[in-house]
Amino acid sequence: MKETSERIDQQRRAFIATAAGGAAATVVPGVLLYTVAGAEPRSEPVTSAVRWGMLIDTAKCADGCSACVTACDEENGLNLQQKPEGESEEKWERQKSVWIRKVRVRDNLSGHISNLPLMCQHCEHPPCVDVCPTGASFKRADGIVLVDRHTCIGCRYCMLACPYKARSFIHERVESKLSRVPRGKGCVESCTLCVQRRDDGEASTACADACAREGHKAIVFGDIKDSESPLSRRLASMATRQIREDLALNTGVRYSNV
Amino acid sequence: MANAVIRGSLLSVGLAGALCALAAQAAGDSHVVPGSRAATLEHCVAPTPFMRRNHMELLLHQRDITVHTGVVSTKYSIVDCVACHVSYTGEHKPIPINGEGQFCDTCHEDAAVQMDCFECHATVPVPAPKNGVAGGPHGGLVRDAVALSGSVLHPEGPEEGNRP
Repeated sequence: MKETSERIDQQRRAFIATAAGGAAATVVPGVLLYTVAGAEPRSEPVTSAVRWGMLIDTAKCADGCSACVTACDEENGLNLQQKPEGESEEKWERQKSVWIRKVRVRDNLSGHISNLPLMCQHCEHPPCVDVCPTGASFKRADGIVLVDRHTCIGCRYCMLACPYKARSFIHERVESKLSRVPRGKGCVESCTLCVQRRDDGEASTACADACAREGHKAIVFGDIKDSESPLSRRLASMATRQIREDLALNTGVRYSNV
Repeated sequence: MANAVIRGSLLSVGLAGALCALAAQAAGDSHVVPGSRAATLEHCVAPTPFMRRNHMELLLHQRDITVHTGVVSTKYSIVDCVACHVSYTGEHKPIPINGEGQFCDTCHEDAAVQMDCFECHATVPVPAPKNGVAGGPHGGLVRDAVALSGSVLHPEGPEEGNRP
């Protein structure tokens, strides 16, 4: 009895979402599928022919290295955030926006320690999207979970719903920001899988590039749906896990050797 | 009921009149700021009277397309608006586009319409375009990002997340 009630029924989830306003009916008939060729800025809408994802090999992720975090900060303008005047250092550390957290996991029995970067897991069934009252949290056709800042009202329900604590809220006015990554007071944000790079036809994310530059190569970025992509080959050849598999969210970010 | 209808039509006639007066006033002179790239061009991405009337609709429409479907190769991009219409100080430092007397401010001040665009969007091209030339998606600015320095290291550990 207990088992049945705990099993997650995706059909029921989909039914509820449809009944709640038809927002789940995202499949548009007659949409043509295009392949993105070369490093051209995107001129056709994204399609579900691709699903972006990542594989993080925690055995290669070095203790004390934060190259991915630094690269993310620079790519997405997070390093431009300024501590508001009069705010304590401690509070600012808790409140500033962070897209990747380096997490250390220790097995209490064996004492084995794993290091891993934790960011938005780009779930197939994202809880943040389920709870968003305005539709600001959404999943793009290519699997990237985003916040539309134009419609975000800053209620932070998504932050509570996210099992990965991946989202950040911007508490104060933001004076300096990048043209390609807008940011402002009162909105929630999280990892976008470098969506600006995706739309400019680039191959990788800032964190994966930085990890490769450091020589660790712990992060592989790519298209999960393309069976020939380096990511898919790695996923097929090694045992990988989702964090909180029990929630059946089918995350786009997978981990190995955890 | 009849009163409400009359009042409604009077109001719309009044509003239409006010808009016509505003348009006539605006059509007489250019608000393009000297020193901006826009000042060197004949007209905007569409004829000037059309842009004056409809730029807000174009931006509203475009923002949904860009955010939700990822289309960035468009002529109605706010990043390109800023890159083209921003003016520069004597030291080639860009002046915020919504600053006093700048391109956005002059008309919006006149029309008493508040803009919320720049609560989130950058008011100057960041990072600065190479050779002072902007164009293409994201104002042609995307790959210059690495030039930015001053990275911040975040403390490690699972307890350091941003709290609601």
